[in-house]
Amino acid sequence: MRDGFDDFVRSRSTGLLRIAYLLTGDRHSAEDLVQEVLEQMYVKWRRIHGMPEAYARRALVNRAANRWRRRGRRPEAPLGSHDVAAPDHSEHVVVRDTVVEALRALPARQRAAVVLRYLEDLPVAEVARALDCSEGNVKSSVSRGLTRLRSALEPVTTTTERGRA
Amino acid sequence: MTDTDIRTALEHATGDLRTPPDLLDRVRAGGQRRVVRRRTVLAAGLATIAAGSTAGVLAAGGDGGGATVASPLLDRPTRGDLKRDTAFLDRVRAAWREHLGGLSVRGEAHVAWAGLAPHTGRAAVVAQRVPEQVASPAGQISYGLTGFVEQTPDGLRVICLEEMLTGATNATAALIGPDRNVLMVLDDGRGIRYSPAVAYTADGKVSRTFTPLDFRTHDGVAFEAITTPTTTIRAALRADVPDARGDRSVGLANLSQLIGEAGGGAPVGPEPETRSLTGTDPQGTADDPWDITGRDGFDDRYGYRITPPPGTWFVRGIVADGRRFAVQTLTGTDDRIRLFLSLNTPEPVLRGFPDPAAPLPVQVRLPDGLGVVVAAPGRLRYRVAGGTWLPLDVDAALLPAAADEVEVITAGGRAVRVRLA
Repeated sequence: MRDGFDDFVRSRSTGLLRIAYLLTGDRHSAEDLVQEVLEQMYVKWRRIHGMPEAYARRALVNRAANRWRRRGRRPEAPLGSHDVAAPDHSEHVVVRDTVVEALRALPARQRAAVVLRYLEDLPVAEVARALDCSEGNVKSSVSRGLTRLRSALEPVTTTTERGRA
Repeated sequence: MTDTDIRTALEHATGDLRTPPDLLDRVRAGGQRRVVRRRTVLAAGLATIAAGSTAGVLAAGGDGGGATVASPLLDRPTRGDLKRDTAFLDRVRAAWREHLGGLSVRGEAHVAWAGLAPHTGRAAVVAQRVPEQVASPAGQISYGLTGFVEQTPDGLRVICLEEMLTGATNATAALIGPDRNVLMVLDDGRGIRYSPAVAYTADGKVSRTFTPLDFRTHDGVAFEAITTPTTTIRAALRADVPDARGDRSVGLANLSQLIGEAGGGAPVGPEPETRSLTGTDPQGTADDPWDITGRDGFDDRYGYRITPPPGTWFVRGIVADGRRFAVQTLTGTDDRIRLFLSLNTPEPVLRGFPDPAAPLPVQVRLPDGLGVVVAAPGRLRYRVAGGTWLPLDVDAALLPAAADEVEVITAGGRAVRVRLA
């Protein structure tokens, strides 16, 4: 009845969690978001099983953008709380925290555009479908988002690159 | 910094994330039972639960010899004017069983309240134990399910289902009736008060008057008639006794359903816009003191939203004499928009209630001839004393003080002229 659903969850849930994490900036919210989206997909699987990836991306983006309904009632967990930084991973932790913080400062649409384009490596047309907007809008959102992301990341990545040299 | 560097940074930021091993089981269970709304993980421990509330507390003993969770919702006798109507109680339990489907539960469902709801018919509140298990990284224990039941022409219907977790307070209110215009509130011992509408003070802060609810007439439940919610709910509830996290808000159990009925949470209008106009004023961040979105007093923290706020403007810059300014809008739970100006300090001054449908919703004349801040969804141009139109090709600008007319060219290409006040 739901052929392929289990395989989809097993193979794609980590990828979806990564998107959700960058969209929400919070591990627990991201897990909740992924679970909500997958539950929704379970119910609708017969209608969407031909294009589950696209459906999941779009649902994640929409639900992440609609987190206004909970905002103010349930404070988010502190940034970067999803694990404890081990000393040998400190560079990654710095980059991760900086990335998440920089993404959170972006408007929702810019954030989603950057995440889908650069984490998922989606073509502009696919991102436009996920965001339900024109390709031109995607390009301008990505461009604006990247400008701000670059200015936030430059010092960190420069430092880590230097550290490696 | 190249595109590859950006990709690498995003991969580093997420590379160590893994889904929980039981995700598939949870998803399948959740899908089968539709959605049991999972209470958000709380940072607080288990020891600070308000006495007398419906929140569960660990108690010694229980079946199996281990600890079990005590909860007034599960353990107190049935209340309400239909508490002795065994036929009705049986029908409530049958509707509850059917709604749960294959969910794993323990024992018999307990009808915590059963009675007649004004203007809408019979209603009930049900709770049932589930096999206890740790359900969150904070150590919360899942111990039950609860929901509101209402009468419809097709029979009794469970309108919401919530997981009961230690350390968390369940939503104790719901909007019932065919028009969702009857507010039903269960007395959870936290002293819940009711406010019928939101108002604003002269400085633009939210003002609400809360009065105690009458829980005696209906033996543990209060009802209030409210305006049928279409895009907004004007009423609000507040508890005298805070929950474990110090939160006095009262959840609406069927809020997700109401959001669905109001359009599914789809954004209405453009998303919030932030513009930096002049100088090198830094972009805002989540904890920007100039952004009053979440500041105490400006947010209707006890109200409910069923549609997202429409496009919100946050325009910032530096005026000629070097002072910083921010012009921003806030949309209340009643959908009214407040327009604020902060100049030189982050303290905002209310500058009116613009019409969101107006062609130029943001129009603030700064003091001392410093100019006029304007913003609208579209491209702008302006002129002075009927002179030549000066194009801006942006949607927000700080115009010279002499500017007296703005033209907004909408996305559809329509040009609308607005005289500046």
